Amino acid sequence: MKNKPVKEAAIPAKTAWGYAESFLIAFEIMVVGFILEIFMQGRGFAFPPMPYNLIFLLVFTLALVAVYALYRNQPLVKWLSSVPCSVSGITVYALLVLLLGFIPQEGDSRWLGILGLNHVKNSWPFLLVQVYVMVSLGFVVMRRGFPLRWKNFGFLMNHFGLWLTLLAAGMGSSDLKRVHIDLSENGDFSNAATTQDDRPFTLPFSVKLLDFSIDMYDAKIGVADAVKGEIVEKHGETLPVIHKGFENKLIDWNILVREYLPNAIKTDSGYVAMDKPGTVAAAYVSTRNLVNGDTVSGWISSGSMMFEPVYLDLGRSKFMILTEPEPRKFASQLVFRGAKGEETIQLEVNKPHRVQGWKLYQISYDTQMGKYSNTSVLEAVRDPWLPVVYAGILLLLIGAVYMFWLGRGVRTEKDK
Amino acid sequence: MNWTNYPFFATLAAIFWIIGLILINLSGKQRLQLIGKVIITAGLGILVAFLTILWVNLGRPPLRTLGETRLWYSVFLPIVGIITYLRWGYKWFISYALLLALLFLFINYLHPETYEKTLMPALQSPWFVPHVIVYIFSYALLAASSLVAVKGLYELYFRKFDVQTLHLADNLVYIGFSFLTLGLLFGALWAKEAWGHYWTWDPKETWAFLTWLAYLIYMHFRTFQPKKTTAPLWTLSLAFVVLLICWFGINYLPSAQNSVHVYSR
Repeated sequence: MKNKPVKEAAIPAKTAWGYAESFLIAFEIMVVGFILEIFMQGRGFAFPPMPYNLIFLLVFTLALVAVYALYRNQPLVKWLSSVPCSVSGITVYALLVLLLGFIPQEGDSRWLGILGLNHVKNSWPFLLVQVYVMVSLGFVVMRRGFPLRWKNFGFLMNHFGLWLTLLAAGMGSSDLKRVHIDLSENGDFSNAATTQDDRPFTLPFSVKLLDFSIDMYDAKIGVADAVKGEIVEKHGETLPVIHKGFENKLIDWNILVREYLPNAIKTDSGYVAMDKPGTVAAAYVSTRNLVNGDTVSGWISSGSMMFEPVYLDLGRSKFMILTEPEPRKFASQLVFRGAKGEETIQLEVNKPHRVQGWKLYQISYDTQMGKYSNTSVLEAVRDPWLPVVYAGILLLLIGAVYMFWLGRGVRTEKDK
Repeated sequence: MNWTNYPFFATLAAIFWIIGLILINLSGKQRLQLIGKVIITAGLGILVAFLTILWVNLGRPPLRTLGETRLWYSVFLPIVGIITYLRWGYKWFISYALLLALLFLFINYLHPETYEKTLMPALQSPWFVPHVIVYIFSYALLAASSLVAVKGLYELYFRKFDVQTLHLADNLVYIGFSFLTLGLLFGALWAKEAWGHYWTWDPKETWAFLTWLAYLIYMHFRTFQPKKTTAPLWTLSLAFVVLLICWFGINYLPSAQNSVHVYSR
């Protein structure tokens, strides 16, 4: 690569207000937000749903464009599109996010609540600072956006992309609907769901569960320390998956799995394979202590809703245990009945299905019944602003690749 | 062709990469360095061939098992490493990428029982590997930029400050930040597919966002005040602390115990 002469990035126009003023203003805006929150007795702020958020969006954008078009040379507008203003906005925004990161966002603490600290993302200070950032960001985009030039491509991708994403995510949060649907196999069509705060919700469609299927891994074996209450780890070998005939070294023991029953019940003479709810995974293991040569053999099992787990005492507070088998894959076969008729859908984790403006996800099942679960828990999500968020994210992705390729625009010696 | 052929392909790729790394790092001659780059790319090609044939023979994308995941790491790490090296010439970067890739190849070789060991359903996604890879690179670059910042502070207080140090830090931050942005966005896109929403202010997400904001502040400050040196050096060092909290610290925060990102048993 040729060495281009060192070139400083173009320095934006200097404004009368610098960092001190910007930070002061940003901080004051945040304080006003807190005062408002206290005034509202900690009730917080939530964006109104459609069509009010859309109206607000249009009014806000038009106002920004109009103010910029008419007053772009006024000191106030110049300052709002300056770097000190953005840095102060980002910093105060980061401060609020920091609070979000440290303070558990739930609970009924009185003084946390009145300041909005246990619901930061729905608080007045957060809203006001976000508006401050969005105004500054909007002006900055217009300043560099008009007239349109190729050299501003990366800048615009990043800044307009962020503006769009934040706006759509913020506005969209009020139109976002996420509800849980509990279905039983062989139940009837149901349009009942529950919101995240446990309130009933009626879906504009109904679903019926035909079949819930689950595929389990085999159980894993491990050594537990009864004193410390944890699984013993040594050089990474901790919980291998077992099968009948599994023979290996585990921690300080040589183990041989003489028998493995993925579904069994306990009887007086050991374990017997059976396939019905409440069964456990069981294994008959022979162990030999590599340190002192002691051998111990016996049955171990995982726990279930009907049986306690069974351990093998290896001496010196160490026990051989068997874990509850984990799910490899679980899926639901459903019939969906909506405005356009009926269709059969197969839902799996990471494979959601789009229907009638909603997206259905496979979330969970009756974990107590485990592999015998005949109930399935789905999530239905409606997110009408998602395409706008995706558009913003796409611009940001393009901007990121652009940044990677161009770097800082300053060449240094290549060999590091 | 299946996993039984893996040791052959992995060993061949590893040999190519080691030779390539030696040539790049130890030779001063342009010609040998070029040969090094070609050899490294050839090594990558061997692994890509293995991956492709495996995919065809499995009849499904190899995205479900732990062994398969590690194979993708061994392929993506060099791809991004080579592109970045060709673009920016940082030898330490391609060495880092290939050494990590070799590590994954080796782990896979030592644990053949994981070839079939499938992941929990939520991790069986094409977003999993890209999300992790870009973060691996971003953290490496941003860590490097912090080392440079510390070097800069040392120069400032004890020796004579060289402005090139700050320029190097800037470049590393820019590239590292672009990877950081990709990581954050990939995570959001994956979350939408797996959990139903792209952003839930999960502690890891929140701290990842904070890390992003911290470096954003640094970059903007550098734009407006390019002549200042003390403030940006300290800002960069502080930003790295935020990154470390995001990476490790959240496991210890009380607000984070129920997060999907807390990697405990």
